[in-house]
Amino acid sequence: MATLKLSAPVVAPVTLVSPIAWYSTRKALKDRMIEVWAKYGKWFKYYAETSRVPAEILFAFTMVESDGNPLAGGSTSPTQGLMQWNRTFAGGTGNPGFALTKEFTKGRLTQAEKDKLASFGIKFDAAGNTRAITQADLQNPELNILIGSIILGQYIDKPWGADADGNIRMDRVIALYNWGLKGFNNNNIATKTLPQILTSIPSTTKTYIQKMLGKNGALDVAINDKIMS
Amino acid sequence: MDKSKVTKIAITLIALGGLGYIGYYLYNKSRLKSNDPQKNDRKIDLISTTK
Repeated sequence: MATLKLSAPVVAPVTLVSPIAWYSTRKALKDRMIEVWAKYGKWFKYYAETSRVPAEILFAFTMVESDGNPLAGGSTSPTQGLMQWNRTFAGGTGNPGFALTKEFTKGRLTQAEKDKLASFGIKFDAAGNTRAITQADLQNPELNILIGSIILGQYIDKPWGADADGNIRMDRVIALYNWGLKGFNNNNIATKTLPQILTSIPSTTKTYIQKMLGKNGALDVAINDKIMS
Repeated sequence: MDKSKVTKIAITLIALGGLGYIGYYLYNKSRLKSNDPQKNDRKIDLISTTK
């Protein structure tokens, strides 16, 4: 069994701290996370089982991306919703690189995931094509978490997703998720250390890493504050 | 109904319940399995560095 590790908050090789401009206190973030967990916790737990990405990670991504607001991002944005993935790259017809198409053609979809996607009208032909992913799909909290969990699982399973010692490179995952493939590839993020990455990425992506992995950040609270029951 | 008959029925019902639970567990487990060993076998430990 491949056991990977993710330590939070990150204290080495650099110490990360969540910016107080996001949440001024740990308690304020914790209180908001309790509200979000009450609404969507059952889906974080279920899709953690189907994707094998821990609920804490799905939950923390959701907090940073949308603050738990399923309409965050605005109704004209292709990245609207809880986890803010881009619907134009998630599924559809004629692109083997779509996230859902890849998950299907590589045999990575579980029956539970296929059944849930089908319940939302997302079915696969033999080539892994689906119907187009719509704005309503983005706004659906359960479907948003389901597809977000699949995308995160794909990133973690990339050759650069973990170091040889099994430590997940969540900094790289965040850089790709937030910055996109072009910035990720053009700046060789897949081969860089955390300190190198922090000096190579836009400030918004750096702040994202701090919110997610820093002290008093979303993953720190999710792991340590016993709010996910 | 004599006591031994009741006991037998109770044991049978408990055994059937147990088999049903095992069947349900295995069914659910199979639904959570994909054809990709990397995904199937991935286990992630979350480690707190908070002292």
